[in-house]
Amino acid sequence: MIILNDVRVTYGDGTVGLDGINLTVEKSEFAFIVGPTGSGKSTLFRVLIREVVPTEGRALVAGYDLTRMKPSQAPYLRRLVASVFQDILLLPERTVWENVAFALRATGAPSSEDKRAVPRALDMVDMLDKAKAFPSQLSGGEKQKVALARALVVKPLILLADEPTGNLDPQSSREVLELLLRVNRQGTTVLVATHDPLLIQAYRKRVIELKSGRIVRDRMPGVM
Amino acid sequence: MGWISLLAFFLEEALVNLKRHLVATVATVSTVALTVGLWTAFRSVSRGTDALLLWEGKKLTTVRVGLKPSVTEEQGKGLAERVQKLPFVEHVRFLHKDEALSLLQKAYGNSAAFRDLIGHNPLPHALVVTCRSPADVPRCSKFLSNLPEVDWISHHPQAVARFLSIVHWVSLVGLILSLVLGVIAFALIHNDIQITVYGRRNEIRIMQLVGATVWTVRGPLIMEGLLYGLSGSAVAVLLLCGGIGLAIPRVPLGLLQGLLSSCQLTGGEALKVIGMGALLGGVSALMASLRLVRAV
Repeated sequence: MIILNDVRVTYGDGTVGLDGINLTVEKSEFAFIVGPTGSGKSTLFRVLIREVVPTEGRALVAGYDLTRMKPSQAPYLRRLVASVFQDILLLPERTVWENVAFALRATGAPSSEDKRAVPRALDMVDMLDKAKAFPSQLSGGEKQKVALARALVVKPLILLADEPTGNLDPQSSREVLELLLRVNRQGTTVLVATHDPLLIQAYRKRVIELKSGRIVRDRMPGVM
Repeated sequence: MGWISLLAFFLEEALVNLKRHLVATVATVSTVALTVGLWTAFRSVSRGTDALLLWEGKKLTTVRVGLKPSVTEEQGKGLAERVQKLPFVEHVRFLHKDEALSLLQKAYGNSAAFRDLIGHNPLPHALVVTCRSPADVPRCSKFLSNLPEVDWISHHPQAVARFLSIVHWVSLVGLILSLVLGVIAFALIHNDIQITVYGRRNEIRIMQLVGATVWTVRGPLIMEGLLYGLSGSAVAVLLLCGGIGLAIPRVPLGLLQGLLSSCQLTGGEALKVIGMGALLGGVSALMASLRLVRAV
């Protein structure tokens, strides 16, 4: 599903974002990406949705060769590789339903598709009963669940979640993680960037640790 | 079906945004209406003035041509037929010398000088040439003066030149004002779309993340500009047509009423103004979105 071969990202000012990353993630796999701030977690995710193009190496994601594909193909890649970023909030003047439907319509789906896909996505994150609520009426955990539903509504093959529990209390964090695991069990490949060690310890999943743009540890589940 | 859905999405999103920023929307639509209204009003007045000028100018399109005394009636009529075929000539009338004398007598009355002419007519046959427009008069008179049958030419070169100069300046001022007003409307909508892009940055980011193409992201913005132009120009046309329509029966019959009537927009012209407003808004928004929303 994801194959990165010696991927390097150097920004215009000479800063190195990723420094020779070699990584393979199989279909339906779940992995945590960990590392301190500035270690390259977000850059890695931005490479996977082709917001950042590798300066060296080869990257294959969901059948797309990121280093060779045309920029006009990037939106089609992003329909397969959904992302939930910490800084992307819900649209405050739209209801939960409208927030999810907005993502669907933006990909060119007909409005008739809303009635089928939106309840399914909201049900998947246990938010169907809050469909008419506005974001201001939701807790932090609920907002994150809606953001997940918005990412899932287009039925992606890969889900990237960047610090999805960053601003949440332990209970909400567990709920969000459980949801991500549920999504993964349904066949979606899930990568979760976090620097919450307790969260990682609680789940026996693959952990990929980054430091200064390099993978310093890639621990498979069950290996201590 | 895909295109219809996409257009419906653009329209929905544009309307959501217009409704969300109602005060800004009303301000922009009003300003566009004012600008397009001023432009249309000026064009209407300019057209009314043109009609008035043309009506006045018609008096200047006549060239009187005196033929040489040796030219016979048949030769004169033949020349009239040849001149009638010229592209800048609207009408030619052959004026027999007897008719010319009778016209002269009518104009000057039964004075002693005319009584002395009884039984003798010193006038030549003549042609009365009407040109298509005052601008054709210099060309026509130059052509006629070179003909061997022609003795003299009578027209009003200074009046024609003055008239053409007035028409030229009215057109020039109209063109400049139209351009200035067009640029103002364009800049207004462009600026508004820039503010919208800033206001919608979260929507735009979400659209880019979920896989909207760059044109899907730009679509609602272009639609928004189109709606600004469309509604602004529609308001302007309604106010203008309504205003003129209400004013016509209230002014006394005469030149002002005639001028007002010739300023009134026809259905086709009103649609053209609305279409142009929409196009202006659409193009302005397109340029703003091309600059501000790039593929990532």
